[in-house]
This record gives sequence, C-alpha cells and structure tokens, in this order.
Amino acid sequence: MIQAADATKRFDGRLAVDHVSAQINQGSVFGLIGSNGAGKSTFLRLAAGILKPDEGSVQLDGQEIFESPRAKSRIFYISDEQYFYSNASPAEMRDFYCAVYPNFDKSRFQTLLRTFDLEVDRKINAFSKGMKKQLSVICGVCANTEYLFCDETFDGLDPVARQAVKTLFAGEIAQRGLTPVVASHNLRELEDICDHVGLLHRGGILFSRDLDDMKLGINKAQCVFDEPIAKEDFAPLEVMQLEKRGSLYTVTARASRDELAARVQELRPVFYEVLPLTLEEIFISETEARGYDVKKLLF
Amino acid sequence: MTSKNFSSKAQEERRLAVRLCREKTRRSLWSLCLFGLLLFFCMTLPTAIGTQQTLSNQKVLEWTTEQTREAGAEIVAAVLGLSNGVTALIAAGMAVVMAAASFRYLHNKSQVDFYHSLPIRRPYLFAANFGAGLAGFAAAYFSNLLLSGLIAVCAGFGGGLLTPAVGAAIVLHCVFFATIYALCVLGHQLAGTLATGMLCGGVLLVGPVAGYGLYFVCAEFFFEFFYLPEELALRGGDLVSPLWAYLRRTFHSMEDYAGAVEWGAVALGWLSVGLVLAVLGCWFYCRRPSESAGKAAAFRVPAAILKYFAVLLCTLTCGMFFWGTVGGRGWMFVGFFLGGLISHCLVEMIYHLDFKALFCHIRGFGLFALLFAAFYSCLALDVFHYDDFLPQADQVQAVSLDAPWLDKDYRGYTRRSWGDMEALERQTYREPETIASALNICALNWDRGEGQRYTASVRFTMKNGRQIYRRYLIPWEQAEENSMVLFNSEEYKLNQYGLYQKEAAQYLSAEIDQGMPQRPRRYLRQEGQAEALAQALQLDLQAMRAQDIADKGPVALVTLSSNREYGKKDYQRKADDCETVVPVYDSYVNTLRVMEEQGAALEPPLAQYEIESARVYVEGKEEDEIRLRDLAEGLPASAAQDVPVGRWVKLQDWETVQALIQQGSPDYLAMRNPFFHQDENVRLQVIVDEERGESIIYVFPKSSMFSQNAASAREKSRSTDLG
Repeated sequence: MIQAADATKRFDGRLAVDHVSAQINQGSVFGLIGSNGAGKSTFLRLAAGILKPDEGSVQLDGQEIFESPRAKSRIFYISDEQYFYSNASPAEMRDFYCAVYPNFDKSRFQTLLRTFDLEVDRKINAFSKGMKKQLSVICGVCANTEYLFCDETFDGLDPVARQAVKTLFAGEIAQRGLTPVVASHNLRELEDICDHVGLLHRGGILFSRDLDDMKLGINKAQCVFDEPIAKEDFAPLEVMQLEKRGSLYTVTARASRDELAARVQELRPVFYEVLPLTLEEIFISETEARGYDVKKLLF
Repeated sequence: MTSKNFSSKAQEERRLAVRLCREKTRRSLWSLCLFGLLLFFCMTLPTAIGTQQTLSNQKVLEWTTEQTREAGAEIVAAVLGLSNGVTALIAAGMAVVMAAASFRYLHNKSQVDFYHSLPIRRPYLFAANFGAGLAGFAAAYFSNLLLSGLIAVCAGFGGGLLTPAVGAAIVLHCVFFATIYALCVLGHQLAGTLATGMLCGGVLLVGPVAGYGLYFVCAEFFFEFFYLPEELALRGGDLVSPLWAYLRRTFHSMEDYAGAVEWGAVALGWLSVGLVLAVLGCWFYCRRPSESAGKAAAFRVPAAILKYFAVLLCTLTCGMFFWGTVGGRGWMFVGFFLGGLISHCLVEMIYHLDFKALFCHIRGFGLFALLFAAFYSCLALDVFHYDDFLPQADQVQAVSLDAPWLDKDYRGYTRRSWGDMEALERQTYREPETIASALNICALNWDRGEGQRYTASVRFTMKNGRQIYRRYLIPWEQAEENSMVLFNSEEYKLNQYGLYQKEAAQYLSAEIDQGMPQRPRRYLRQEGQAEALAQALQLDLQAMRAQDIADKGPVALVTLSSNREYGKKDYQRKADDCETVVPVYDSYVNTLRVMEEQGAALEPPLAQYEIESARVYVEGKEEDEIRLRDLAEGLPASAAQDVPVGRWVKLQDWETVQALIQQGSPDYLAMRNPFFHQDENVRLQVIVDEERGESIIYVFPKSSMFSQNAASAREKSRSTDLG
C-alpha cells in the first residue's frame, strides 16, 4: 500500500501539492484525475520517489519512497515524456531494464513488441509519439514491478492502442496483482479501468473514493411530469441535481436505484427511467455538491 | 531487514551503478573518440614521427647506437612528458566537456525523471556518472600512451618511457584532469541548464585566477609600497586554480623546480583538492532538487554567491580598465558603475532566463554597491595602514632586504631560480644589529626629500612566523650612508659573498683578472693554491670595512671555482660546479701576499707601449668655455691643452695618461664597489687595440682631484654667466 500523509510540495513558493493524504491499495487501479496544473504529475513523482516532499510523507508499506532503492524497485514510473537513451533501440532499452529490474520478462517483452507491431531493432528516435508511449507501457509491464505509475499515458494513443493497453493492464491485474496508478484529465478514459479515483485540484485532493461506492450511492432518473416539480418533492431523498428541459426532468440523487425508482413513482410521472451514471456525471455531482463548478475544474 | 539482505541490496546498488557507468560511457563515446583522436595527433603520431626521424638521423649523421638510443629516448620523453603542453590543453578541455556530457541530464526534466526513478540512491548515481567521465579520459589517454609506448619500444627507445618526466606527466595529467573535471562537475550541480552549468564551471575555473590577477592590479593601484615576489605570486596562482597550476607546470621542464619532492607534493595536494571537490559535488548532487532541471540555478545561496563574485570581478575589471585606458579616478568610478550594473543585469537575465528580469534584485545590487563603496574607501584611505607599515625591531625575527645598491652584480652560485625571491633569501638579516640597520634603511622610505631613489624590496619575518612584503623607495644619498653598518656586518658578508658558503678546500682553481684585456688572465690550479687564496680572502673580507674601500676600485677580481679545469679552452661547466667572484682591494694584505707567494702578484699598470692612444671626456656645454688646461691641476704641465671640453679629447702625452690612470679605476672593476662614488661627468678611454676594438674605460670617484677640478671649473663658468 502506498500512503501519502499530508504530502506537500512547493515550486518557487507555489504550492503544487497541498497537504495531500491518499491511500493506494495494492491490487486496485487508482485513477488520479485533475485539470492541467492540478498537481497530478507532481504527486506521481512524489510517489515514485523522484521528488522529495517538503512536508508530510509518501510511504510504501511503511517505508519512505524517496531515496529508497528497495521501495523504488517495486515501482515503475512512466513519465508523460518518457526518456529513452539517444539512438537506442527497444532491444537496448530491454537490456538496460533487465539490469535495473531483476524480474524483467524478456520473452514477454518480445511478445508485446510483436503485438503492438513495434520493431525491436529500430531506433526509438524514429518512433512516433504514440509508439514511444506504447513502448514505455511495454517496458513498464515487463518490468514486473508491483506498482506501475502512468502519467497521462493514454494521451497520444490511438483508440485501438488505448484499448489494447487497457486489456493489457486488466490481464496484469488479474494475473499478478499489478497496481497501476493512472493520472489523466480524461474521465472517460479511466472509467473502464479504475477501481478508485482521486480528484486533485490546485494541489489539493478534493476526494478519493472507490468508484463502485460512488456509483452505488448515486443514481439518476429521467422523468416526464405533467406538472412542474421541485427538488423538495423528492424528499426525503437527497437530490444532488435536478435538470429541467421542457417536461423532461433529470434528477440525480444520493440514493439506491430502488429507492429512487420508488420515490419517482410516487410522484406519478408520465414516463421515467433510471439510468446508470458515468464517471463524469458522478464527478460533476460530487464536486458541485462541494461548491465547485467542475467544468472549470476539468474542461 | 537482515544484514544479509542489507549487503545484498548494497551489492545490487553497486552493480547497478557499474551498469549505469558503463552505459553512460557508451553514450559518451563521441567525446571519447574525439579526444582520443586529438591525443593521437599530439602523442602517438609525434612519437612515431620522432622515432622515425631519429632512426633516419642515425644513418645520415652516422650516430652510434648509444647516441641514437639517447636521442630517441629524449624525443619520447619530450613528446610524452610534461613539456608537451598540448596534451595538457587537451586533457583540460576534455575535463570540461566530459563534465557536461556526464551530468547534462540534470538539466533535462524527462531525463531527471528517468534516472531518479531508478532504484538506486543518489550517491551511487553520482558515482556512476562521475566515473563515466574518468573512464572516458582513462580510455583516451592510456590507449594513446600504450600505443606510443609500443612504438617507442619497437624502435628501441623504450628507455625514454622510464624517465621521471614521463612518470610525472602521467601522474599530473591524471591528477589535474580529475581535479578540473571535479570542479566542472561541481559547477553543473549548482546550475539548472547546460549553458549555466558551463558558465558556472568556467567561473569556478577561471574566476579565482582573474580575481587573483585583479588583486595585484588593485593592490598596485591603492598601495604605493605593495610588493609580492614574482615566484610567490606564481605560486599563489597555483593555489587558486588547478588550471593555472596545470598549464604552468606543463610549460616548464622539471629542472626548473626542486625536483621529485615538489612534484610529488603538487600532485598530492591537487589530488586532495580533487577529492574534496568530488565529495562536495556529490553533496550538492544529493541535495539538488529534481525540479531544478531547466532553471538557471539549482541552489539559491550558491547562485547568489557566484553572482556577486562574478559582479565583483566585472566591477573591478571595468574600473581598472577605464583607469588604465582613459585615465583618472572619475573614469574609474564610471567603470566601476558600468561594470557592476551591466554584469548584475546580465546574470539576473541568465538566472531567470528572461530579458525582463534585468532589474531583479536591484536592492541587492544597491547593497552590494554600498559595500563596495565602503571597501573602496577603506582601501583608498588606507584604513588598515598598509603603506604606513614598519615594524619595530623587537617584533621581527628577520629582515630580508634586497638592496640593489649593495647587491651590485652579485656573483654567487648557480641560482635555483632567477626570481627576486632568491635575492631576498640571500640578503636576510637575523642579528639585532643588522636588523636595526635594515629597519633604519627602510625608514628612509618616508623621508620626503627630493632626488632619485632606489627601489628596495623587503620581507619582514615577524616573530609569529608571518611574512610581510613591501617595496620601499630609498633616497640615493641617504641609502649609502645608512648602509655602512649593514655592509660592515659579518652577516652581510656571509650572505653576499659565496666565498663563505663553501669550505676553502672545495676550491680547486682560481682566476685573477685585473681588467686589462690585452693581458691574459692568470690561473692557479695547483694543489692547495686556490684553497690558500680562498682562506686569505675570507680573512681579508672579514676585516674589510666600507670606509676602507670608499672611492677605491678593486685592483683585481678573483674567481674561485670548484672545478680545476675552470678557465681552460675546452672547459665545460657541469651541473654541480660552482664559482664565486670576489673583488680584491689594495687593503687585502693577506690575499695580495698569498698571490705573490704563488707567483700571481699584481701586475703593474699599463705601460706606454701597451697603449695605442687615450682620450678624455669631461661633461660640459660649449658656453661653459672650460678648457682642458683649466683642469690641469695635479696633472703634468703638458696636459694644459687649450681645447674645449664637452667632447672626447685625445691626450697628447703619456704622463697625463699615466696620472689619470692612477686617479681612476677601470669601470669593469669599479662597478663592483658599492661605495665607489663615480663621477658620471668625466671618464678616460685607453685604447689598447683599435683594430680589435679593445679599450679600457677608466672612471673617477667624485673625490678624485680630476673630478673635483672639472666640477669646480664648471661651476665657476656657470656662475660667471649668471653674474
């Protein structure tokens, strides 16, 4: 488990990460959401042991990560601009990582290179941005570390490659309990894969919760009423959002699916349907409940 | 964690460090090849060409095998030894480049993320990168050394490889490369971009030397009596910059220095400095924030220190430049202001990588300006009383006084170095009487009378061991008068005359020169002759007083040598031969007696038949209307010629010439006597062989009748004119 306790980092007096406390359990997929400049990369770099926290701590199973080779050997960090040796080929990077990470799987590396249609002896300088991202993911997966930190890794990947990477992660998670930590500003990308999400804003963590818990606890219904209705009509349910477009009402409430359906029925709608919430909608609801306009946060 | 786990983890880290080092060296192959090629052209190729030419010369010049081997070994030692300065320049350049190549990743964010995410602690990471640079140099230098050595051995000149010069070169190249490399690496730790890293390294390498040079310029400007011997100044440069020490040693041969001990000390000293710099670099590396990649400076405090150091240098340089070229204090202040402001703004721009940051920290600059003004005022007002310094006799352990009027044409032994340190060391006085006399002479510096002055260099060795140097201006007239006590002291004689630095028995030959070119010099080479003469001279010198020899020219110069063959036609001086020259006066009764006993008595003055002609010169203007006959008092009546003075006048008769010779002294001999007060206005030239251009110039002391007559006639004529 990676535990950040009041982790703080300043750059030239500006708070990049502001007293963030978070827990990344082993075996789960942690999604780190936030707009540009929210502090996602900084937090990841703190967790990877690249940066030293100015205050607080970031620990892996009780051990500080910074300057700890033991902890770092369990983490593979993929930067948003991953560095490869100049004029190196994937084969050379494979050999290098083999020396760094003793559990590096060479044969798996070869296989994945073929899967992603990357040439093993071609100079990486000649790769496109997307191909370099693919290579960095392959290196990370084949390193066989317990944690894999991905900073905006999905950006730059085509939809097919994106799906392939998600499938790869899913396989690794199921097979050996890999714990990916994925930072992105794209909610839709993380929805399929994350178990747990944390939202960063201006260096601080707004919330960090299990996705399922969030989904279970909030539901949405679309209804059509003859007469106008208000939020209060849905009491005792806690209505997080009520949108009206003509006669169509969309209500999001903190309640179970059955509870919401029962209450809507009591109001005698012309038509109603309970719909599943997307991650984006859950976020919007949660953050608006905290008084933030999430559009400003994320878009 | 068990100790077994701990040691295996440490091993794992070491293994990873070695792997990274190897990888880094591979990635720096371009620099290795570049410098390897340069070293090839300055080491291997010249060795091959030199050996080839030597072998050709063997055939052409018909050298023996021994001669060929010696010549070949010399070539090899010259190319691979320290005298090949190009190797040093290449090594220094390689150190700068390798430091940049090894640590440039620190200035790139993605590379920093890559390296610092690896499971290896920073000291090991530093060692891996640092080691890559050292390995690169070792590969380039030793491969060329090996190749050159093979060529030398194959040509039969392997002996050249075993010379101290080559051994010292190998050690010093390695030591200085490592030190300059460590210094440049330190510069890169303090900086955040490659350009500022190179600049930092440059400031650390060159800044201290520039500062040192400015120290001298400013000291000369502010202090009238500032002085530091050249040898100490050069040594001081050795202490402030490895680059200075390195290049200075490569352009001098080993024989210029004290030998193996000094070389060993230099190597050890700079190796220690290199180690300290490497440790300091590692310390900064471990504390360097990863986020400083891409910024101009990684640490605030060192950045500020370097900034103000550079600003100070620029301020002083600009001010001194204006003072030196345009002249005047006003322009100097303009230079100070411009130099300080421009350099401050430039550094701020570099630090912020933004032109608009030109006037950042302007308050800091204001504070700097105030401190500089205060510092300048302290120096200008001599707050620390530098120029007023003169110790009391009870404060000093010794006074070293390089008094040129007393040190006329010193002929001691082969000097270790020809700098002013040698003269100071030699003229060191430790006895209370001589210390007091030396201090009295120094005190004349503050005598503000008119007239010409001698420049005397002084070193005070205080009782606490501190050595203080000054250069004083001593009035000519008072200098000699106050020097008599010193001159008469035993300590002066022991310092001044090499005669006392050897045992009399060590002298095996003596040469006697009376300053008459047409008569051959005489030599005493038989057993015991030189020794007896040396003993007599030692006695006479001890008894001699300045008052005894005032206004007298020596009657002869005696050169004593430790080589019996001295003076012979085919004499070749060996390294351990020593000679000393001692003037002999007519009061040296023991010396003259021994010379007579050994058949080398003084010869009589020139005979008439030995002289072709003679002419006399008396300074004067045409309007003075002085005639030679006016100066005839004390001379034969035949000297009374009605000839105007102010030009050379040929003398008609031998008696006049003879009389003048008796009053004067050959200038070659007279110049040896610091108490011979020569009248510059009169002289006699005796031509012994006009065809061969041989003549003797006789000079006259001011106390001689001829000189006094000339002076009074001149005065009389001029006072008549005024009347």
